[in-house]
Amino acid sequence: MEKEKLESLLIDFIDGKLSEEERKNVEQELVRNAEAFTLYEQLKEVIQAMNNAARLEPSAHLKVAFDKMLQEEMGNQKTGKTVFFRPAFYRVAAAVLLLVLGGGIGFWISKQQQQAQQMAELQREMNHTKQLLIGLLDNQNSASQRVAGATVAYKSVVKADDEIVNALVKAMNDDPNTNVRMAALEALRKFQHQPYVRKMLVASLSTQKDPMVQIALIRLMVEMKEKGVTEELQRITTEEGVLPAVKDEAHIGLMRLS
Amino acid sequence: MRKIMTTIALVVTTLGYIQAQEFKLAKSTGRLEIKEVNNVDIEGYSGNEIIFTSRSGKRDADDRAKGLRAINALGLEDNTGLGLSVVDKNGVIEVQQMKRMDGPDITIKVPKGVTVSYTHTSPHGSEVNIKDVEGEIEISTVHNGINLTNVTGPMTINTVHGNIEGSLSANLKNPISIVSVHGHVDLALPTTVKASVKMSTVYGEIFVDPEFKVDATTAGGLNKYSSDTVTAKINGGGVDITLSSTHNNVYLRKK
Repeated sequence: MEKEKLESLLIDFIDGKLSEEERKNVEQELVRNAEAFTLYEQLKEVIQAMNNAARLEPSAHLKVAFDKMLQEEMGNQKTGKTVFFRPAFYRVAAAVLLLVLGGGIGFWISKQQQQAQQMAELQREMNHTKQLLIGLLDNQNSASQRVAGATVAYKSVVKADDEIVNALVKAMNDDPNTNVRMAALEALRKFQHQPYVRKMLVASLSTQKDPMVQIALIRLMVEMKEKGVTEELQRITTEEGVLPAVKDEAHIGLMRLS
Repeated sequence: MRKIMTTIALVVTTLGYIQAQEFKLAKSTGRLEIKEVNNVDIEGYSGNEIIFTSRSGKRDADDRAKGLRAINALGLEDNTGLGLSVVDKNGVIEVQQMKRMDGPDITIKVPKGVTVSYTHTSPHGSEVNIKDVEGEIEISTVHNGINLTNVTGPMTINTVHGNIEGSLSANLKNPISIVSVHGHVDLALPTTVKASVKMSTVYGEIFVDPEFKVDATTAGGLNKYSSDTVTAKINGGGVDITLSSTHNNVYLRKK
């Protein structure tokens, strides 16, 4: 008989769980086999010990001490983990506070988003205005449309970027139509405090051939107190082919600036 | 008596002859550029031809010129029989006169969709008269004045020495820019018109009809006394009108 099988049979034999036939077989085996008998003896001892151990009870003193310790431990945990506000009023207040806070944060975020949206909208609008303006100024077939372009710049643009300024400067210096030049100058005059615009205005004085624009430019130079143009004004007063009215304006400009 | 009869007969035949002097060009859109034509009236009408008519019969007094063609140093040729050269350059009709100085009195009838451009620089000739034109008008002169009657714009008009006078019709189109250096600018507007008018003068004065509700705008609540520009909104503002005379007065009156 194999050892494992014998072992399990012996355990059942000791517990008295075997059938009549099996019991007889085990008894015969025990008689026949000395080795099986020693195993039986050992097993019997172990099982008896186990049965005895199960019946072991902790002493009364130990139990009290343990219970006490448990109580203490529970007491400690209770005080550490309290999250509830005792009177119901506080709980309501906390809920309301949370609600308000949540609402506030939500509102803030939505406002932030709205602002960003508005900024984007504004940006888009500005780009649109710019495209419109440059498109109008570029219309070679219609002087009126070019005037309208310059008027858009005058009316709707708050701060002109270089692209707009360049388009306006080109119109002021090169447009075949005087009204367009004047309208462009009028728009640039609005942005005269931007250094680049100022530079372009001063530069235009020496190349400008349109008498009406020349007069307006000289007047603008005086208004801007641009003393750097006195030499240029001197040249205009002595140059041949310049309209007397322009020369007069240059003289006046010279007197006012010096 | 006999003498009077002959005079009348002569006048009648002359009139008939003048009416016969006509040149037509089929064009109802695009651009008409009139350059250096000294005496010209331009009228808008609802048709689809540009019609050139001469009001002077002077050219035909010369029998010697019969059978010959007029040319000039600009390389132009009289192709109308009116003393005018009319050339189509890529859809732009260019009109120039043959003579350098006086030249013929011309009336040009223009369909409504045609843009009219008139440029003139010489000291010769007389005022240019524009009437009933509903298309875009571009005028630039040095010496000659400009008269506008019942026009709508959009228009850009400038002159150095000429006066600009005119009355605009009620349905104005954006923008209107009228600028003179030495002449006055005198404009009549219908009282119902909605417009943003910018009037400026340096050495002249600005006069406005009291019936126009002018809300003068001021920058930052302050008036700048050295400023020579008045910005006014008529009936709440609308069409952009710029009126400017550097050395003379600006008048804005009701029609």
